[in-house]
Amino acid sequence: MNIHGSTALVVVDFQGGPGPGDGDPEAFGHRTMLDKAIALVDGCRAKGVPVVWIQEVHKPHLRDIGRELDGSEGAHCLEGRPGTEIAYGLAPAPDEFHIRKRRYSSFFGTELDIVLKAYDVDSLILIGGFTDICILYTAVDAHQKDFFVNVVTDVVSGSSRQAHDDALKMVHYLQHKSLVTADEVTAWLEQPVPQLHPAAEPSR
Amino acid sequence: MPLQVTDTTPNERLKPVGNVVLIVVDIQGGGLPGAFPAGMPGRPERNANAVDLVAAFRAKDVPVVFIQEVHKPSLIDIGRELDGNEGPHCIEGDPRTELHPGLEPRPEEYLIRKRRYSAFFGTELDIVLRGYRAETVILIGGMTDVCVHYTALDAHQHDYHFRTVSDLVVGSGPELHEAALRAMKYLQRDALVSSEAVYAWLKTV
Repeated sequence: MNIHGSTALVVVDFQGGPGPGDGDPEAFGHRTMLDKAIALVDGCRAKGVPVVWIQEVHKPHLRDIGRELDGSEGAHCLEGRPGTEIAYGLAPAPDEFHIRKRRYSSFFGTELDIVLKAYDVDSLILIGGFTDICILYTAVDAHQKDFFVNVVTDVVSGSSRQAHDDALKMVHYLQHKSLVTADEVTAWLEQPVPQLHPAAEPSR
Repeated sequence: MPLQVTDTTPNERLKPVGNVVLIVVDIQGGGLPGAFPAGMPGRPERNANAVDLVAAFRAKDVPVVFIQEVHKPSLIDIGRELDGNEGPHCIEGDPRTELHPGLEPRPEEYLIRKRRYSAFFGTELDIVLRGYRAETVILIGGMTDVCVHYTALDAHQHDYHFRTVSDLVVGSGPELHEAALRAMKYLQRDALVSSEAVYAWLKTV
């Protein structure tokens, strides 16, 4: 683990609503990933580690899509579509922040930095997708904002296997201790977790 | 699923949209040998070609913006940049931190110093590009997988069209260089261009 000070779990674009997101339900072991994500969220809540939720959204008229149609992606994360909702089984609690974003980095045009300051965290644990897009680019901005980054390699999935592998190498370039597994996070959560923020006291 | 990028052959047409600005990212070293880790060969030729390209833009009155990464010797401004592959770098006062000879900004041109990887992060770059009413930025310099990639990303998120000149960028090594080219083409399918494409477009300006 790459932990200094206190820590937040950031769940990035774990969307898909009632079923697995776009594409093959078996891709990258989606169901296994979802189960691991649920366990990590529960584990963090039990230890008072704040959980922050990120959801990419775009209006159906696409005024807010920017240049995101100029590359490999089509229209995506349209507001009102069931598949845009956070994956069933995962849900923000009322006292948790649920941040909508319209670009790839979770910091871009959002209140994420304010929220992380409020929790007084120095370290982030990232899960979700795509590894090579919203995870990588959130990790890059976290890095540039001086956070210690932990990407849970078996709870992130990429736009393709190669892009996933490329992105993990890029994250490793930034911070050598940044690649961790769900088992390592679970083991870390079993240790005494320092510096609970009053707003994130265990409630479950 | 989104399309996977497998081919990084650069386009032979620039296909710019609106006004164009050339951004020269971190071509530093002060002309001194051994200023950068030699992850990829061809540095003298690439830097000479960058000087020629800047001259060609100036000849056509297309704006050029220079980016220079700098850190204080105390490293108070280094952030997390020592936690990964890089050691202390671009120290102010070190002659190797200066721009490559021939790439000195003119008085009317912007030299933007940055303390992070993206040229947009904590800098006036977006203000400057808005001033030029730019819609397309052309990127040359280094490193492909770090400052070029993350500058391209922020350009993309700020709604600019970006074009990375494949033969005028250099990575920390061949593998991550190629990976970053794929990543940039994922963002914008027209992102990768050759320097010939840029010269061909300049002739039409």
